[in-house]
Amino acid sequence: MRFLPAIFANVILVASALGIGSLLRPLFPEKFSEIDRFALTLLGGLGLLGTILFGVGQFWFSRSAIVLVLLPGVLLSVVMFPRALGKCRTVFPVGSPPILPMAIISSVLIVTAIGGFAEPIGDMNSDAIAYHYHGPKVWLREAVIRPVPDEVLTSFPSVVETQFAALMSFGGQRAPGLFSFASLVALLLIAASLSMRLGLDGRGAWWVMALCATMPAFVPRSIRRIY
Amino acid sequence: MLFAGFLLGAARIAFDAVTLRHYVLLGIFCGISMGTKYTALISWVLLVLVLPSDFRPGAAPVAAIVGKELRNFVCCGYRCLRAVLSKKLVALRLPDLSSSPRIAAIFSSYEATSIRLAGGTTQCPGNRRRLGPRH
Repeated sequence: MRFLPAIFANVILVASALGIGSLLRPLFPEKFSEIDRFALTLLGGLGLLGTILFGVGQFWFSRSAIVLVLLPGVLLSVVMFPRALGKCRTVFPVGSPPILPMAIISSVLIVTAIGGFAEPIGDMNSDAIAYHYHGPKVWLREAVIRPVPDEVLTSFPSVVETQFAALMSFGGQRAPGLFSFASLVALLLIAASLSMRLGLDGRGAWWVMALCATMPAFVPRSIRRIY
Repeated sequence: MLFAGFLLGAARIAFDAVTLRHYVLLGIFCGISMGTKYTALISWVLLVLVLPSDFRPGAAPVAAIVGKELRNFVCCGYRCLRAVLSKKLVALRLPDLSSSPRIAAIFSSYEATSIRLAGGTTQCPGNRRRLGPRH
């Protein structure tokens, strides 16, 4: 039961990101495939959501404010979701995905999800704590986004960290860690999209995703909840 | 990790950007990247300059113009860096790699290209001096 708030918070955040990202769809080039559109909708939505949270958080960053920011995105995604679901099958235009890369990707995603449920540990010497978790925790406590005077890392750009704060607000300490699953999926999708644009077919795109998923720069970081 | 995703997304858009709204979308992704990490301050410049000019036929002329200015900027930066470094490194008794003949040759050709593109002469006063051996 203690994992459910983290899952719930992540589902809400990703749904809201997809809803807000769907506002970007009219700007996409016409020749974009479904995988391009889906990956860019998710990534653009996450980026815009973090930016909006940051802007609103300059004045008001309570749980109510976060709900008010996320709600329109969730409603938009509810409207868009049935249409997007119908196109899900065409995201990968390949009959049967190759077994080996799919197994690699699945195993990495499973490990990432399981690792994401762990509570964050460490002190201020840990980059994950000092950079990514310290700021959001203080911002939520103070109900406003301000740099923490004794930690310079909280003055850095924080589009992702504001989303961690939203996740912490709803899902507790475990929720930001589980978010590594969603961000890894988004990264793999855009990597596949870019590889297909550069001439690979569907099978090649699966292999690109498998190679990306096994890169140490991505895997251990996602498990350690460092972005 | 999301930072990498934002940048790859910007690259994906840049490959097929034709109309103004495509470039607006590219700008949004570049902005999001910069809102995630300061490193994107470098990345988006590379995206704007390199992708349209080198990888696509019929590239936007703006990119070429900005690219020329960037070359000039790099040459000026190299000269300033060399002026500062050569004194500092001599004082510290450290090897001055910036004045090594090989690096100087790279930047000389770079400088000559930029001057030619700017419509000037390729005879650059800085290139005439032959670098002697270091002591």
